[in-house]
Amino acid sequence: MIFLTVGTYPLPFDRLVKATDTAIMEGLIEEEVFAQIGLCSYRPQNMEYVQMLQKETFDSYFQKASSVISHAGIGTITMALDNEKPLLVMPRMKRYKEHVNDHQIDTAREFGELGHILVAYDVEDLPDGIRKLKSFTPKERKASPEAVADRIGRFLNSLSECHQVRAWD
Amino acid sequence: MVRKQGTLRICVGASAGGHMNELLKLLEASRSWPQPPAFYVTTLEALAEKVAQLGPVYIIGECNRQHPLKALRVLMRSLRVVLKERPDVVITTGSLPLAMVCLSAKLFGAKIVWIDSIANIERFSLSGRMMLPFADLFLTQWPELARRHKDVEYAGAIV
Repeated sequence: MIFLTVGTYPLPFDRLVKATDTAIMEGLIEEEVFAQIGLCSYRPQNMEYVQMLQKETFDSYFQKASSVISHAGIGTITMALDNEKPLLVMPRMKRYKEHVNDHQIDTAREFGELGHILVAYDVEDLPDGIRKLKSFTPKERKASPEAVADRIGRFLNSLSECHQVRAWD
Repeated sequence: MVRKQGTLRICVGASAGGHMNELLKLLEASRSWPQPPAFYVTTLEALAEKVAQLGPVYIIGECNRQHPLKALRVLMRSLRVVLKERPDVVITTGSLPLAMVCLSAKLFGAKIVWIDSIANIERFSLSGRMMLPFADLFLTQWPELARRHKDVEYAGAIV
């Protein structure tokens, strides 16, 4: 099963859902597709879909999927890297009122260039992305959540000390 | 307010989606924090169940800059949460709804830790730029952005 998601962002992203629906119709995707379409008004004809899944159900669909197609949201990108899922993204764009700015293009480009994901910048790129998706192996990413948490920990500990001083006053 | 010496009331929060994903990863790595968070704030009911497993959770709703009225409603809810919970510090990975929580909390003397999302590569998010003057610790996940702004630190990438 291929999992299609436009994320939780409170604006529609009909372009991606419609383009994927078309790809199924044209026989480019043979696998079954399941979609979380969020606030899209387009209703897919060739796949099962829901508006929004509870987080835990979402996670289980994600894990079951052979690959994922989504908007270029960092949450989906991170999940794909964590689960070693081949991911094809299409960035939401301001010009189509899919987001308030174009930061998803930057995210897609950066993670795409690092070999973590496949990118279709527009509807025309999607078929090519879909063809590559099947054999795509995402490059592993090294993050350092501990270093960030420790920096915040130092800040919190300094606050705790101030707090103590204040309590003694 | 009477409180046990040295005990911080920590609020952590994030919008649904990538912001929450980053926050959850940060929390998994937060062993060095003096206390676990006292409560959680997020924006969508779809996340309530998952976050409630960690502790008390408040849902303040979604908003973006295109809907000022919705933003106002989120601000009112944020104020209500802050008045009830009186956090000493708010730690967030964004976005705009959580900036409302930060501003509300700051009004009552809380410290703000803002971690700008890794999705912002070329420049900070609008809510990030809004929080720059108010944050007591402002972290970016891209070294290049930290080099361009004083008062902004790079300590690593959460994801």
